[in-house]
Amino acid sequence: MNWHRLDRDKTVDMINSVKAAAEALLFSPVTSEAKCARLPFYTNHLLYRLTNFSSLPTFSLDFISDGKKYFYLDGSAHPIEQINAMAGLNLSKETTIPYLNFYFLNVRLEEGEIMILKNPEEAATIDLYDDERRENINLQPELARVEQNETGAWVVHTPIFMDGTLVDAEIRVDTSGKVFVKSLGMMAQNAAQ
Amino acid sequence: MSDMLKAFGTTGQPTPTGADFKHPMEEDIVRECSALLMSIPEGKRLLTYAREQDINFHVMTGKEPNFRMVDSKNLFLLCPANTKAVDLEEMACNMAIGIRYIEQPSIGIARPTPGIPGFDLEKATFNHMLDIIVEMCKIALEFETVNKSSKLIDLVEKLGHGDINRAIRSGKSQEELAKILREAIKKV
Repeated sequence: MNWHRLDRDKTVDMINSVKAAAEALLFSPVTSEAKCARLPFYTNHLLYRLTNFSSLPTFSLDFISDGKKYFYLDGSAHPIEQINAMAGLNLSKETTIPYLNFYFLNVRLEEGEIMILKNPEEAATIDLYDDERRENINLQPELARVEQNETGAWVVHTPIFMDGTLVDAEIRVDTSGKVFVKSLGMMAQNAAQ
Repeated sequence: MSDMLKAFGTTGQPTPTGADFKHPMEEDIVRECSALLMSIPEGKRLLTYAREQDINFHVMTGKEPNFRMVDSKNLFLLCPANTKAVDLEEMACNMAIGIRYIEQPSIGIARPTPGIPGFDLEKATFNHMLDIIVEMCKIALEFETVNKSSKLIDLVEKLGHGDINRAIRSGKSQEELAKILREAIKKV
């Protein structure tokens, strides 16, 4: 993720825009940093991160915003789907995997943690708490197949890590950005090598 | 993941944009986490401390279960909006270590606060981390013993604290635990 740090005035604006959370959790311009990053599947909205450095460990809240209205990423699909409906989602062969990486990073699913793997071998070494790896939304898996079906939905065929298991998966993203994960079966880590 | 999920009852409603970030199931979450902690000795001790210190619990929606101490009287728990995707033991553990975080200065563990002249932040952060990891392992062990549940142990392992967890179980001293954590930090 390529982050751009916001200057002090923009940081103050952002804190004021998300006041309810910012005040409750003691975010202040002095102890906080705001930054933003481009998301390849949105045209007018960026990912914003507000981090409080007043104590350790530091603490962050993430939002999607057009710079005026901030949508808090609360662990559900709702804010992402709201943005998709409101501002449009630019899905293509190039942006579908980044969208899915972003979705799985920000939506807590009942199925458990899902990560698209660079390759099946990565399942043996992956660290689910490695923020740098998790936030690398532009990482393209080596064996993924990305196709658009007759309804306009994008279908991705790729190895994923689902709740601790290496799984061969078919993931469908419909035109509104809703994500459907279908397991095609477990993969043996050694067989994949 | 989550078979506990059902424990919170229904799924939380989406967070209204621009409104406050209070979790729609705040009361249920606090009640159920407290009830679960009351089932284990360390949880009971911490909740008693929280009651004696008039600590207020608040629950905000958030991407992952987490906690944040605002001041020594207010502890914020973060819980994903969809509670069916959350493990109750993990949330209860966050409540427990949040209380422990508040308790730390009273037992001689300084809060790692940046920007204080003359303050050894590195040492304070290390001591704070070690204490929180030990506390988490203790809670996980008690859940395993009392409730026959290993979900939190699995999380401790996933977080990379398996060595410390095993060392605590084999009765290693605080110095030995510190040595293990130092080695783990060096590897990162």
